[in-house]
Amino acid sequence: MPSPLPRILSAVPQAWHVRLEIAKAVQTLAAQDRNQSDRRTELAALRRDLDDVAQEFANALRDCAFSIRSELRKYNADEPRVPKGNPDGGQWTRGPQYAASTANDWSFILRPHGGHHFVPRAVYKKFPFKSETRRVFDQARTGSLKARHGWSPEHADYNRAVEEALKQFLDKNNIEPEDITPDQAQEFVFEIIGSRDPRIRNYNLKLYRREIVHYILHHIPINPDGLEGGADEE
Amino acid sequence: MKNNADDDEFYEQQVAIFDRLVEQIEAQLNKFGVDSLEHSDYSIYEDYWGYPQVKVSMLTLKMLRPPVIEQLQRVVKMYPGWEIVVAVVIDGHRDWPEMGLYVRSNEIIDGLQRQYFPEEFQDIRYPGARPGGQND
Repeated sequence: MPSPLPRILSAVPQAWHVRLEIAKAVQTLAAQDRNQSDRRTELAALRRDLDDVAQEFANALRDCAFSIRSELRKYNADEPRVPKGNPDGGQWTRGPQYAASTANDWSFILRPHGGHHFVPRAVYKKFPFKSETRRVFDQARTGSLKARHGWSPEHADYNRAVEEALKQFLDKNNIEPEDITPDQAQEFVFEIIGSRDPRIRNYNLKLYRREIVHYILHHIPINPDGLEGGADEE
Repeated sequence: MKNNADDDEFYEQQVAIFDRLVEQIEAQLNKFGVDSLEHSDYSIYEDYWGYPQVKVSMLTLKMLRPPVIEQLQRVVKMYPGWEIVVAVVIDGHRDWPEMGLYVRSNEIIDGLQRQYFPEEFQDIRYPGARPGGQND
């Protein structure tokens, strides 16, 4: 019985110039594959960088609030000072107004309209908060966004996670919903901005990342062979 | 020539429509289910993102029944050019693929994958609906 081996072997071209052409073709394809692989690696690195930038942005937003509050504490012009001529002239007297000076320190995250609520309306309207507390949640937003909604579950997950966090915040601080102050509401907003709950963190990072990319694409000239603009989809 | 003031005015008008639409959607959904601290059948995402859309997540399958969707379409008919994005987000079934509906004044885009549903929900049909995906 004849062996099948010679038949298989005969399928390989014997002529050297043909083999050379095949080798060249294989090399070309491998090079293309390497280019694509390099490009994928590059895109993955870019994505990681953007994640880092977005995380830093979230951290900066949170840290900035505390820095500003700290600075405002130091330089609150309304705070009573020891009169001139006294050995301690110009120093703050640290009266009861000191504590009150922190009110509205975080107003820079408050916006009258637009974008994503850090604490969604669908969540805070379920609680019997005072109107001034509601106002904080209502105005704590990212600012205008431009994106079309799809069928992703992220919004529902985000709402549920924030609702859970809000219940925990009230329990932890032993506050009844009707007693929560605007300052405490702001504190909670910053807990959400800096949250490590993946349902909250990933969603907020996605928004920051999209806004950063949107800014880059619209404000920074890029080599057309480089990054491509994508549709604003959720 | 359009200027920033025109853009702002248009934006404000769109936000006003969005708010009215959300209010009316809430009123309709409230007839069929609840959204409370104890239990939620649906969740409305009440943020305007620059597109004429309102997103609703249905958290229980009963909210996908035709009378509910019919009421949503009745609401959106009052706002031509707007759509209600219905996402299916059912507890205990997070392994299901993303699916949902686009409810518009003149049509319903049906992206439900009924093969995942329990039998009693597999024959759900919406009059005038056509199959479609998230990019329709």
